[in-house]
Amino acid sequence: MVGVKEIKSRIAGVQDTRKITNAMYLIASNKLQKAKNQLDRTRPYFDALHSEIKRVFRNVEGVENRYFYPADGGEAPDGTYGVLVITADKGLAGGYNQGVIKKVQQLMSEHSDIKLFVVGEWGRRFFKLHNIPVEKSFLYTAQNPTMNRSREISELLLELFHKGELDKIFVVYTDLINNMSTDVVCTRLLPFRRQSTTKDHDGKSTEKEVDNPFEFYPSMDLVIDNVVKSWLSGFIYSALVASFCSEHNARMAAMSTADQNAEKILEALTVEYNRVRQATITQEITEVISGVKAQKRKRKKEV
Amino acid sequence: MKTFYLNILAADDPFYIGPCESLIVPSLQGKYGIMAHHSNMIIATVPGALFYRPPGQEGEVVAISHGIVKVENNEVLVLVDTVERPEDIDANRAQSAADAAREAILQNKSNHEYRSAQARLARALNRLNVKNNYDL
Repeated sequence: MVGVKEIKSRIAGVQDTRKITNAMYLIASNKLQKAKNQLDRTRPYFDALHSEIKRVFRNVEGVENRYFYPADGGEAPDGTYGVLVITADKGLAGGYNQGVIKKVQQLMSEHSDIKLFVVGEWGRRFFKLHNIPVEKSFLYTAQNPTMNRSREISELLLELFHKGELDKIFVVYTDLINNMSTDVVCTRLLPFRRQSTTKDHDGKSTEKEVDNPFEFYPSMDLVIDNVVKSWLSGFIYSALVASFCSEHNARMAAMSTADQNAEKILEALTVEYNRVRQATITQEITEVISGVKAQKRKRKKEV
Repeated sequence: MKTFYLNILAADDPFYIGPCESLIVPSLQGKYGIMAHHSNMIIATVPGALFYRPPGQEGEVVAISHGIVKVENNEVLVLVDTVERPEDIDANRAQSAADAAREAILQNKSNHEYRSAQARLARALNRLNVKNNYDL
């Protein structure tokens, strides 16, 4: 049987752990609030950018541009993929990191020629541990997504795309669908497909018809160049923010589960502790009484 | 005066949504003015000073960066990476960013670093310019 002392120290241990998970829960919920604010502010820009790009440029017929699929409807060269993977800096966030990694591995099993660009310490360590080469890792970005950082990342990717070292650019990140559920998404950033239609979150087509053709100033190529820059940095920024949000969402859920678990364990331990204590007391009393009785009997015999 | 509907969206902030009388954006070939019922157009913007005037108010100047402006059926959408009011710009920080970028350019690094330093310099100088000329 387990002793009283052991149970007591076990209870103290669980209580300490619960304190930590509880603190982490509070921190995560606080950060989540901040991140959600940020996300709310970037969504309008992002949605507008997304729909405008597709809407305007799909009406541009017969323009050969390096950012588009070939005009004849053929496939773009299927060479090296550049994949930007967004993970957290820390673990203890439930299945958040695993989800992203799983998606990347799935992508890698479908296409062998992949260069990885990793955001976040967790992902970097994972790939290092599994001897998967990483082209470049960006540290200290997952914690605090800023426009500057995403610009740096997008410039690097764009440069490689221009050089022809990357033929397609993908990003794997975790999106916050509504306040409760998250989803790992893999999206192609470049090149653009010509005929795809835009869909909003409900899956309805939100496209308005273009009735008057647009004029491009100063020229179409320059406008497209500019748009692609904005598109990449804007997308990466909002992906970072959405991932940050999801991370804290996941951590909050994980920590609240841990909290509940601790509660359950504590309850069971307390019951056990009381039982053991009672058993010892009972045993002691029985021993004392039987001792006393034995002595009485002895005395009686002597008398 | 006739107005049009203006939507200025920065990546981290829906900056201004509402009616507007006049808008001047920095394009690749200099400043470009837009008023109500402008023909449909898409303009590439460069880092520079953007001016807009809501009806019945004084105009305001803000520093913007790369992006596009779309004019469609009397609705104007400005999509840029960043929008900053002159009073929000930290002159010291912009100055040190500009200095750091100049130094990076001088160091003859790789093509990529050179270009990114140049872009940083342009943004920093633009912020300084807006701060110095339009902050009251």
